[in-house]
Amino acid sequence: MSGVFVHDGRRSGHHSWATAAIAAGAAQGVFINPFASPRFSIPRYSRAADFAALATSAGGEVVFDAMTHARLLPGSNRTDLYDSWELWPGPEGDLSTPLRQQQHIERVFERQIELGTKKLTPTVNVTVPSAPDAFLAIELAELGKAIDPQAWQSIAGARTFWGSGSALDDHIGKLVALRSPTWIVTLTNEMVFENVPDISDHDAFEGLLRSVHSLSKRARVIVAFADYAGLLPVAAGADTVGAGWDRGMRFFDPSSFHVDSSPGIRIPASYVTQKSLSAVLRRDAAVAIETWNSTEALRLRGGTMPGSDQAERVHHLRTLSELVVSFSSIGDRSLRASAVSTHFENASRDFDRLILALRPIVREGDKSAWIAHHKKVLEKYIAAEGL
Amino acid sequence: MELVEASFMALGVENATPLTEGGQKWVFAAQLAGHDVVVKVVKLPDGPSANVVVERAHREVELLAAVDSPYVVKVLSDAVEVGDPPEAVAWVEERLEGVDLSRSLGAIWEEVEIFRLLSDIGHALQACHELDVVHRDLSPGNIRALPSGSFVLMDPGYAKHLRLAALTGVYQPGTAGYRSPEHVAGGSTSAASDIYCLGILAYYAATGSFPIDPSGPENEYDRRLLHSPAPDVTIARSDISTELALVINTCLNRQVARRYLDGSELLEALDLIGMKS
Repeated sequence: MSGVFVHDGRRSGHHSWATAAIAAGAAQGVFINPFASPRFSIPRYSRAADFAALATSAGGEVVFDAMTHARLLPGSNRTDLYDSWELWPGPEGDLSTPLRQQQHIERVFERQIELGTKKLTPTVNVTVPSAPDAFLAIELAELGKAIDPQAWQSIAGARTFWGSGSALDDHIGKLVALRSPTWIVTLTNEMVFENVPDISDHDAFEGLLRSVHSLSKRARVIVAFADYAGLLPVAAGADTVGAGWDRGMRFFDPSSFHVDSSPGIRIPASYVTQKSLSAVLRRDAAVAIETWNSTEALRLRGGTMPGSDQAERVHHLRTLSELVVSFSSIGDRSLRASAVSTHFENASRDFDRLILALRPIVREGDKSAWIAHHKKVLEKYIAAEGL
Repeated sequence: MELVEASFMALGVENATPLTEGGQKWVFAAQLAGHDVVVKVVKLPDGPSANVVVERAHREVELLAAVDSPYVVKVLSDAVEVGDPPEAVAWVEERLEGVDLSRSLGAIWEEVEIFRLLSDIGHALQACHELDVVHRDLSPGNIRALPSGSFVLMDPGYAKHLRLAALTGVYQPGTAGYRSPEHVAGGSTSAASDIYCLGILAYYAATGSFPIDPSGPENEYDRRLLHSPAPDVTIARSDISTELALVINTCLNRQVARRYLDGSELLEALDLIGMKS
């Protein structure tokens, strides 16, 4: 089932919002993670098993991602819900021996069995393929396969990892040999400053696409924490994108796993998703576009103006899901990449028109953040693959 | 030669005559229970590493004995320790008719012969890879072209054995010209590396040349292996079929993940185009 999986979140309405999105066909599944959903119900948080049951009954897929790669990040300490999962039979975070690795993986698998989800082998965040964490990631994956050959596998890496050229290819080659039926791939950010994607490291994203291309030759690929930027790996063969409505759902944001005494503004404004622009613009910009040309505004949004933030949540997921399903249904790699490329080209032209008509409400910076870098990465990937 | 004679006695072979000798290894033609066989004798190094060598030789030969394929030379004995304390390990393999592939690689092959090579050695690799045995030295000297036209893989696991045992001192896996990018120091060979090396053999059979030029200093060859993509085989041999070109080019993909990962995947691909023997 291709489409959009909603990442887990700690907001009170999260479970009902995500389930409603699945029921409405705007999303196809959910990620549950131990930082956002507790194993047992506690005040303000219902237990993950109930969430999994709700999502399943609505017709969605459920993935429990232990997010070990987040737990082991420096400064990761938001463990109020995490601890209830008891994912570490030995000392927490200790993967220093094969026994400790096995114990952690087996415990994660036990929790996934409890929830009735597929087994997903935990992983660690890789900085570069030559670093010890890269060897640990491979050891964990091999162990996960040894315990259950059908277990899904994860890859999580920083930009330096995805941008490491032939060393990245060698690392991916070792993992591909495990023949996981499904790969969940994450590009981890060191920091997330704004609610816009940062695609400026073209080498890293081209490496991500090249790897997704390789992985998808034999398996399903789900790209996590990607949201609209996930259209890039979809062009390279991914069929599902992890998304959501908050910053920590759309981007792999280390601050989501860190208790911060001064978290700052996380929802700085109201937004409206513009499907044809592959962008999420502030609501005041959406209103300006509506005022400028209501027919064009309808086309750009891909639906009527969301009347509330709840409507926007569903609108956002639905428009992204439509694009992901549409592109991932194209089997031929060249045609698929070309279709996404055409989408970006059209979005680029639409941005130019909007900037001309509505500057400074819609700016070059918006185009750069939401489309220009995407286009360049995709062009680089297409040229390198000879598509 | 006392060591060699002791090896023959330990293995119970007769009528031994030398075939080849190189480094620490001797190969003899002989007879075992009336059948033609090959005897291989490897001298152990001095010092404590000898025990490690012996243990690993046992493990490797036992592993190879488990490979059951008409496309892989059969190991007929355990690895026996010769001397007390051991001075050598020796074992017996079946003796094959025909010639090494090196005798016929200079000429340009017909497509059907190349497919036969890919299929037969593909079967051999499948049998090895299913047991997690990686050949690591797939080169013309390790493939026998039988009079029947089929091909048999020899010395499976030998390169690995050498590496583990450090018998040659500075270990350089593979044979120049027939190495994969993963053979370069720092790399890690896998079943897909064998596939790459088979791709080199097929490329050479099709074109009479190497896809990656091995001439010059070794570090330059290594650099080319790591960074130069193998050329499309149709550039050097334009009359080759699309199907065969696809198979060879896939074997030779620089990226492991884009190759056939092992013998089974290669055979599946050959099966799809109706060329599996």
